[in-house]
Amino acid sequence: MYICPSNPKKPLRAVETDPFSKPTLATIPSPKNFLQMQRKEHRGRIQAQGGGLEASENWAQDEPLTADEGRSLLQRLKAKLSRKERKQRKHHLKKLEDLIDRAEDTGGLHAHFSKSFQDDESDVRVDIEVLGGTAFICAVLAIILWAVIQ
Amino acid sequence: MTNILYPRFLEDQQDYETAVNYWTGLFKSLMEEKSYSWQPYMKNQFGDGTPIRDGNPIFNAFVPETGRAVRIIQHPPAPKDSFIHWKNSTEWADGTPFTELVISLILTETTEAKAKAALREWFFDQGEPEKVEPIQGS
Repeated sequence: MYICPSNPKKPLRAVETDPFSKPTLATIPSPKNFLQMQRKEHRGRIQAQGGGLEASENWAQDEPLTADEGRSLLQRLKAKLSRKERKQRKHHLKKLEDLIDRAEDTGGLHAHFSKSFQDDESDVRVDIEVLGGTAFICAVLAIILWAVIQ
Repeated sequence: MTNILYPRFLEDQQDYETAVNYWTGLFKSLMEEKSYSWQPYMKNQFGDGTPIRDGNPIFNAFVPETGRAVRIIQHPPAPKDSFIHWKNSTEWADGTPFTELVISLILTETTEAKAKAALREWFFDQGEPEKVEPIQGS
């Protein structure tokens, strides 16, 4: 049982990963699947879209994305938007921030996971997609998992 | 504005389950017309299994026969009907690309009919699925 420093009142449960899983036939490299194996296990993107905008921040890495890293990506995405574009998506960006905060306390988010934050009548939106692995876990948990895998 | 279906789905857990079952039944009967199989491709939940009952999405399904998917977002009641949809190019964990139709609506009798029409067009009338390029940076 681990305690996330950002929210010490809530204990965390371990993320569902099996670092000791054995390779299967499907995971043995072949010319066909070699390129796919080079893909990073933990991948995803956050996007600001609609109203003629298409701004995106991606991640692709060997270890799960921490919530802090997720917040940094969100800040980078915000920095790509004009003041008007940020204002149009103010509530949506806040919802994504809240999602990251909650995910940090509840074992992150596992792929495949998608959400689109938008108003009911508009295509102006903010998207989050976890395409592979896990995202938005507590940094302490990420360090422990990384140590176990090594 | 026509009759809003399951207006309290975000406040009442029972209503939420009823709304989920409604979409499941609607999609199931639609896919039975073509004998297509389908399965959910994401769980709207946190890593520890805590469900996220926000209607975003309220339903999702992948149809192997078409290589296409749908994600339906249901919003709480508002003074006006609302129905929009878009296509999103995404990928599986192994990098295989696929496209999902995202439907975002306030569920009324009118928008239900629009959703059915959009689902029919997406899964039945488009011929071969569009080629989707892998996502950059992954």
